[in-house]
Amino acid sequence: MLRVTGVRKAYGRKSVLEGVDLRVRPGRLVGVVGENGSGKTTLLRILSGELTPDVGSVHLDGSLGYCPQHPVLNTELTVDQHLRYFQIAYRLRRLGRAEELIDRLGFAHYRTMPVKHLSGGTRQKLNLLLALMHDPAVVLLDEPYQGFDWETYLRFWELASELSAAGKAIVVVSHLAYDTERLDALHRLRGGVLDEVTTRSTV
Amino acid sequence: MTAYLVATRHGLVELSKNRLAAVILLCLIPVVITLAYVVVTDEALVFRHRTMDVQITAWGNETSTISVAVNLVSQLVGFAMFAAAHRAGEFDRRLVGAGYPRLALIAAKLTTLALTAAVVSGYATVWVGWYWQVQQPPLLWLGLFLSGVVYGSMGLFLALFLPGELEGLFVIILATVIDMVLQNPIINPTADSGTIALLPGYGGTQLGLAAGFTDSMPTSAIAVSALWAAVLSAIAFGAFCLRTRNRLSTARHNRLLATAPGDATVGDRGDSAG
Repeated sequence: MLRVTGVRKAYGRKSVLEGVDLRVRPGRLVGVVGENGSGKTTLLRILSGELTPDVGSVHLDGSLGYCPQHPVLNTELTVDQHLRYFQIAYRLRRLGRAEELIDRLGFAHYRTMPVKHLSGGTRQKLNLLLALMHDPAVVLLDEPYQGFDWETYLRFWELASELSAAGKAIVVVSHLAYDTERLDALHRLRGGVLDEVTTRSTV
Repeated sequence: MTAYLVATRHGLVELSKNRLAAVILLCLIPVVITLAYVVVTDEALVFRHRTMDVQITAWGNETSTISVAVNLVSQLVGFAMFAAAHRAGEFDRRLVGAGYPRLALIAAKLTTLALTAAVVSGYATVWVGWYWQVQQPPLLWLGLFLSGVVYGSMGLFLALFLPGELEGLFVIILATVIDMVLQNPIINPTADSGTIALLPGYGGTQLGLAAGFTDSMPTSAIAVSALWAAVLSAIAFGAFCLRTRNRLSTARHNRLLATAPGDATVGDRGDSAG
């Protein structure tokens, strides 16, 4: 469960978020859209614990998986070296889930290659993998499919649906309202406030 | 322990792939030391060794090889550490945010710094010793090592706020050149200004000169270098801890609103705006 209550954030005199409320229950796949500069990244940074809100609170039940918009990786290290680092960070005994995701996303043959030799799409796959490999309860994904080919894009949504069915609370942030039919709810960030624009009738 | 070992191994892998630093190490150190020995005057030079307060008479070209060795080791270790810290900044934040022990990362960075400084200093000591007989080679290595550690700490410190590698390279070269020019016995044989003792490379240069031409060990010079390295590292790692602070986990420890194991809360410092 993710619960955001009355979050406000300003940089100097410029107010970016003016009282954001959001509740994502386990098993819900929620989209947040907004134009460039609408405060999506600021909101994501607050949700992931990188920034403190000026006012308001964020409450998470369980572990968090955060996939930043641009791949945050070490270009000199290989995929396997990244896995080792995050295995320790997440205190995982085995890499079973990570290996399964690597197979699903189709980049098993790049595991020993340094990130600097990987394509943009493969880097994004690794970026996503690092957010999901510990099977988090709450998943924050910032434009997670950037650079994906069509096949991988479809596989990403398949994976998102499975995570949702497994009871994960998922937030996908994007600047465009693509694939709204795949979401349980869609919110628009405008004027520093989050409005719910659509909700899937079946949910 | 595993976290420390893995971070150290990855830090060394990363550092070993810095080609610019490798080229400087392999080519520039022998070339510049050779030039200093061949080109600079081989006439006798009398200068004052500040920390031991004695007059030393030495050949100009031999003295110069020590000055350039201190300068090169400082530049190389300083830039290598700057580049590594600068490239890893955002990644380290993500790693710590995911739960990687911060202390293990800091200890790994210190180990990487020490190992890099040790190897580079050893290489430079061998090249100086190739041209003339240094009286105390281990002390020369120690002087170079401490200079490398001081400037390596400075590199970690600069990486926190300089925007790019070019800026880092420029600032480190500038600092080491100013340091070398002001302390070079050929340019400044009396070294009578107290300000010299405040320069970051002071301890290393004093140790190098003592190693080359005396059989004494100026322990105060070791203390000066150690103090510089400790202060710069403390600032760099203090800022590292602040930057990698996770507001979610901080709130969790404060138990602001957490209701179950694994829950986390951030913020909650005012009324909900609704």
